[in-house]
Amino acid sequence: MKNIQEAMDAVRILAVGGAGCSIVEKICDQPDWQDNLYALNLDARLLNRSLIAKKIQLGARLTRGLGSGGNVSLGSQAALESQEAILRTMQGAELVIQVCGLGGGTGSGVSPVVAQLAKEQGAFLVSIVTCPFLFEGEERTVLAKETLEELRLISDLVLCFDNNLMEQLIDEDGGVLKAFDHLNQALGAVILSIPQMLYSHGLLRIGMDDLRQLSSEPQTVCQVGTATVDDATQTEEILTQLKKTLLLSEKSLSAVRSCILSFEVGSEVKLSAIEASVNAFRQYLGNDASLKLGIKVGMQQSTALKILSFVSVKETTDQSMVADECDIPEIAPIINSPIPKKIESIAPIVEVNEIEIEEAEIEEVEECLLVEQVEELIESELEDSDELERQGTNPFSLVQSSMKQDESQDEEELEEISLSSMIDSKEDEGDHDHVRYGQRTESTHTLDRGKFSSTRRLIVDGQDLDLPPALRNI
Amino acid sequence: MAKAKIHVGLEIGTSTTRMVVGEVGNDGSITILGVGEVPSSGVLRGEIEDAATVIQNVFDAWELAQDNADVDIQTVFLSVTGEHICGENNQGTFRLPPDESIISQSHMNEVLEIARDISLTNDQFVLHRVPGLYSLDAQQNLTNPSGLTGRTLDIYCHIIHGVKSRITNSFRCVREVPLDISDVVFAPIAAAQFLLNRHAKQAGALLIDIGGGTTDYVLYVEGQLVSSGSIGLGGDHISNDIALMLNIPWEQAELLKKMQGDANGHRCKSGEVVRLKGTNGLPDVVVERSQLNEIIHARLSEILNMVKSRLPEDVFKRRFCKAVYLCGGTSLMRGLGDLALNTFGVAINMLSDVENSEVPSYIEDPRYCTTIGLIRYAQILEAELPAKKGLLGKVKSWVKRG
Repeated sequence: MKNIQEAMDAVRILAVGGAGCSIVEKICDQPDWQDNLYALNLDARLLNRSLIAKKIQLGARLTRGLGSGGNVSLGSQAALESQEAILRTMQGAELVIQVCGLGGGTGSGVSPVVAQLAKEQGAFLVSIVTCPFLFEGEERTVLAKETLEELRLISDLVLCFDNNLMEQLIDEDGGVLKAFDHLNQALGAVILSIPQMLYSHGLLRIGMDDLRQLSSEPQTVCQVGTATVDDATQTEEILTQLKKTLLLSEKSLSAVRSCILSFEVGSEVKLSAIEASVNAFRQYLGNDASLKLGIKVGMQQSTALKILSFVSVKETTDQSMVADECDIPEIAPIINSPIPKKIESIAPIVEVNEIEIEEAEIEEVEECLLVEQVEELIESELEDSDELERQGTNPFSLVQSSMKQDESQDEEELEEISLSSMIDSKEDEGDHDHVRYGQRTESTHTLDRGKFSSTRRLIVDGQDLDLPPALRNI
Repeated sequence: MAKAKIHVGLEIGTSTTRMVVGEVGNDGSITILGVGEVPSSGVLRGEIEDAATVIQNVFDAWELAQDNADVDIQTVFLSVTGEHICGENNQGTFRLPPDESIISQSHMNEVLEIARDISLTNDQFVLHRVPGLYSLDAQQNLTNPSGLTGRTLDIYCHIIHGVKSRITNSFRCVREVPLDISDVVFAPIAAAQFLLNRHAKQAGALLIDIGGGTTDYVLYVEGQLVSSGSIGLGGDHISNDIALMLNIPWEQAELLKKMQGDANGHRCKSGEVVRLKGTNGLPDVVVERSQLNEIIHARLSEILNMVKSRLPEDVFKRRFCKAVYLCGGTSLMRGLGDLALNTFGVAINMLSDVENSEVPSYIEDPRYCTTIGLIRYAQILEAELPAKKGLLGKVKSWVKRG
């Protein structure tokens, strides 16, 4: 068994591009880590100014020290030119964490190459990426999304931080510098905590295998949140911090499929305090969510408690927010309001049913009840529609209906429709698992690729070309 | 009087390993003497995955070809493909020294040398270097500028290269058999030798070879090779799509594709159903024709659009390319012509459907284009080499020297 120091030596943290560097710079002052930090950039000027000691200039011959100018292919060419240097940094690495901001030429161009190289070295690869703000332009958002898909196919774990959702972390009174500073600080903490969590011995261990398990769940995105309190009994405070840093709205909290909670506690912390916070957190999750726990004792402050939580969230809700992000005003209320509008309109019916409950109680319970009731309502509706469908004698009813829709639409739309209808139908079906033609839906991570299942993936523009066009994540 | 020559072309394809023996007559005509053909395994997307199986396949094809053609085969022309192979244009520019103004042969050699010299990483292997036409002080398309006056001489050279280790794998498999390799040719270049004549190249032609695992293309504009490459998608992907989308075994998907498929997604009656009887204990498959066609249509149009996206942008708009030639096994797919016409908007040329020709003819079968092209390639290569002198000639030159 390696000791911790040796294990830590096998970690490499690569900061790719300007955004990556400024995030990693936040953890530069950690003496244990300085040797493992590398800055990768095309822009020599930025690189020289960076606080990170080990610097790799990419594509020195290609761009002669200039940046990529938003050109993705220039970025990847530069990375390929300097791949020897990148490989040298990864020698003997077991865990590679690459940090970058997507949407730019360097981030989107270089990071897939770095990911590929890291996987070739056999390292466990964690990609920590940030998605650009909406106001940076649609082009960057689309580019970021493409790269993200590509990274998800290669990496073991992708943690994506959407800048738009991070607005809730920002102190509104502070200046621009302070806002970015704050975000970077938060991300830096996450970066550091991953190897610390993976390599330190604990009472209940969390390892790479658990993380891989979490990230390999179909159709999910992985999110991470942290919370630190001085007094372990402050359950409320812990929860608020967690929910805030997880970047999830209430609705998507219930879409959490599985979750890993890693506790780092002081020696004085009681088990009951941990139990309380776990139970409190579990209440927010959906019923079918699985939860895994890691506990480690060893903080200086004896009553302090620190949680790092990874959750995998069903993608559909989150994806829809990202997909339609061209329209800012429409999305903003969804993120900000804890309960979607739909529920409010049904609320009166519920109140009639619950008339006996005292008003004071309702205030507290109402929200939870409402959510549950509405979910039940929706589920029953879905079941109805599913039953209708099953009654139809033609096994192709689904396909036909989607085909009919397309008559007035062009082909691309057709693909989207049939894809979405397939996914919907799968969700509707729930438990009944009868096979119908043309209805397989799993995410690209686990989707059966048929004859090509054992081969190297053929990825172009973030799409796995071995899959039928209609089954890809478009 | 020169003797007729026999050349052998070998293609290790994703679906079939083929060896074709052809005789090049005195008049330049090619007669196919025999063919050795076995289904491939161990090849994926045109690249070798399992060397031992491939060696066995080549060996089988070799024996079959020897039996059929009744000749001893020792050397072959080998075609290679795979998505790692790509072509790029490199410009060479040479400025004449101040005291000279007339282009001489040495200047032309010099500029060609500059254009041929492309900086590639160590793991790349150059398959072809095809020089284009010269241009002299912006006066373009000169075949032979020697003797003209000018300042700067330019030439574009199209260089086709691929990953060395993967090409070497093909070499090794053939040499293990044991066979010698006379030359190695990028598959669509070989097919182009057979399918495209000089006029077609001059008018502008795009050749697309859609095989089992890869789709290869070459584009000629004004007689010059300007673009080439390979995409790792082919007929196998169509079968795989059908198998995945309909949730049926691969073999049945393959049969459905070949027997009932149509690349033109909308050409069917509404609600029409296709049935495939299950054999070997497999259940019967019933599927709506529109759905089957839609799957095939989606994949093939993706392939064609990917080829289109890799070509220079204005090729079809400005009428640089007048015709598209389709070959390879997947080009037998019904409705592909219409689909290609919709995609490219220029004339589509396909070899006639095999089933319709009364006498089975290799020349008319799009699956044999590459291997027959290899024989044509060998023929051209031979014509370019200085003719070997016969015994009498050797004596003559010996007397002269003496």
